[in-house]
Amino acid sequence: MNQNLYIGIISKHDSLEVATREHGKNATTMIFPATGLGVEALRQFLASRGNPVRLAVAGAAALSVALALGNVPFRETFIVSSAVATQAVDLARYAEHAV
Amino acid sequence: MSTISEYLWPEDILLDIEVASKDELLDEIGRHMEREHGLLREWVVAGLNRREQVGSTGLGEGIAIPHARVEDLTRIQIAYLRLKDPIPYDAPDGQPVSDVLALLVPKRATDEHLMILADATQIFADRQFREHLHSCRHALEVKSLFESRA
Repeated sequence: MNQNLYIGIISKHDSLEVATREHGKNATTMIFPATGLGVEALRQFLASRGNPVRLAVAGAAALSVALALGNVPFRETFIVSSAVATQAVDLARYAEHAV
Repeated sequence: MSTISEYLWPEDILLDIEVASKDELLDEIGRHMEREHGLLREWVVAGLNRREQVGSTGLGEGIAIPHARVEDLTRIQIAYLRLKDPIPYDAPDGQPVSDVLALLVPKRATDEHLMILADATQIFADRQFREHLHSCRHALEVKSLFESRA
């Protein structure tokens, strides 16, 4: 069974729009504050996630957010142009299908 | 009603808890979960400790969210502990912790886990909320405060 987790993150001025998608399930969207607290909570969630994760990040501070979230085994991170997707749900789908 | 308040009950709100270290805190959480929900204390503490081995669950600004993902758990369990005195926690900003949101999450509840984290970071980022939280005298007041956050 595919237990990969696909996450899309849109970095906005004061928030991070996050969408998660697992194979065969609908995506779920939530908002984190674009503060140290919000980024740290996301980083910790990803750090403790055992199954592979594919992460696609776009938006104003995409590179900073991606770097802050760190790098761990079994994770792939894509920095994506905002032209590709404007919603986190679309980025999560991108993460699922990117080669 | 916020996501946290859906899972946080008055009996799981513990105010002015006296612990001196992270180990004592996790043990206190384990004792509470055993007392109120019949979960084995050793099992809870081991799970929380395993997660701390991956990295500190301190978020900064005096907040920590110790948590464990548990295979056989049937529902999310949340407890809020307000510490009488802040404790060292290896948080990224080096600040001691005084507000603790303990989470026990079924292993498959990925979305719910993230939604609770999102809710927690938004709520606790609000300085006014935290001031009100620290002035609450009873668990019901705390419950109402979380419920007031839409």
